Amino acid sequence: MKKINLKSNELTVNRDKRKSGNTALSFGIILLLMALGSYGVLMLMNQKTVKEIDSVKGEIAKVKKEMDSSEFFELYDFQSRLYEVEDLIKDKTGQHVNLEKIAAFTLPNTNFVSVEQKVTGQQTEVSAVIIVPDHYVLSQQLEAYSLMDGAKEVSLASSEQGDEGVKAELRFIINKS
Amino acid sequence: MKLKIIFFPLTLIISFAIFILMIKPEWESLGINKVQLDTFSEKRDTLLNGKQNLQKAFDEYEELDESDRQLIMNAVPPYNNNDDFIAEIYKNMQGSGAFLVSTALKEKNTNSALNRTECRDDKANIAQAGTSTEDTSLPYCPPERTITDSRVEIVGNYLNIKDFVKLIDNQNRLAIPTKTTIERIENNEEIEGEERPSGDLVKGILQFDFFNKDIDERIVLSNMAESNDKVLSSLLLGSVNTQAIDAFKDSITSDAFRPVSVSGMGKVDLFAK
Repeated sequence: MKKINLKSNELTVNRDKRKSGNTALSFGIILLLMALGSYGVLMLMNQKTVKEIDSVKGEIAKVKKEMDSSEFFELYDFQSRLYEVEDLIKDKTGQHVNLEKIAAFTLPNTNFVSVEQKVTGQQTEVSAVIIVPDHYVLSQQLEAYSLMDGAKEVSLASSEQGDEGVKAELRFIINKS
Repeated sequence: MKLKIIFFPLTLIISFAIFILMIKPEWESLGINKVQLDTFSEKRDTLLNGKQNLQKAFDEYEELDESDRQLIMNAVPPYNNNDDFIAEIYKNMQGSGAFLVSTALKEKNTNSALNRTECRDDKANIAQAGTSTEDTSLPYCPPERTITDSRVEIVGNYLNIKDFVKLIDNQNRLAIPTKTTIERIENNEEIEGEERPSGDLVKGILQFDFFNKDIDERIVLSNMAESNDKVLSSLLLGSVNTQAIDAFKDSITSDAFRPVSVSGMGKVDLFAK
């Protein structure tokens, strides 16, 4: 038996149109919801982050306040003085040490008229005026000073025979030991 | 029916508008806030860590002997008190047996151990780069220490003068000698008096520097935590520079006399005839 299509074409077209209209509506609503949902989630995340920032800022302020306490200030001041002391003693040369060195290498019949020590950095320039009995003792004295620990450039600046003996001016450098 | 079909492109347009006008700025804002949060968190962690180390250093400082702390405070005192200086000189003079003839003091400033010049340069560079010089996060420049150039003239026998020099060298208040002159006083036998030191008299002229460093009340440690401040950087390692205390103690107690093997040498009083 031959089948006969009883549905009219107009009905099919209407049904298709209704179906695609519903789909469009659904997609549209879903799209809108997705857009609004995404915005909502982002907004919430943002609000949460801002709250976290405020919280961290609060913690920072608290720690800063603790760091700026008088105890830590006292500690800082003390440490800064330690650095000053460390820096200052690094180049310090004891003048009495040099005097003792000079005395240890001075011959018994050498008499001092004057002695001058001038500190220049890590070394001390010594200038001494002495009176010795004769030039032989003077040469011995020069030799003795050249044996001194840290001494260099021991030299005779001048010498003159006088009533008391030979008056001589010596110069040398003592390095900081 | 037509309305339903039109609704979809309309929602597309609205969604696009929501994306452009609302989601995108919110997304960007979230990104910025996340970066800010990371930055602040990092800063908080640095500060927390710094504070913990400062506490450690402070505990170490608290454990130091009071006498050690006093030693350093006296070595470079916070205030320039000339009365104290004169008192110290007088005490040393009494200890040595010499007589004080005159004193002269002159103040001058200097760059300290804490690289103040470098600090100023850093500050200037940062300021040039566009940051305000009033910005509290800029590197802190410590105050300069003040040097007082002093000249003391004393009279006594050579041993008195030598003892005085030694007392100045070893005194607690740090004094760095710059020049020492000892001269024989001619015809000193004529000088009489009950307190006249025995032996030949000599005149000593000592020049030395002593120091003081003000307490800087403007220091805000929390603003310096990320700077290159030498003092704070060392404290943020959690310890106090105690080696400096030991070195200082050594410097004020050292006895550098060295016996010599050369025979026939050695004279206690350089000016004795």
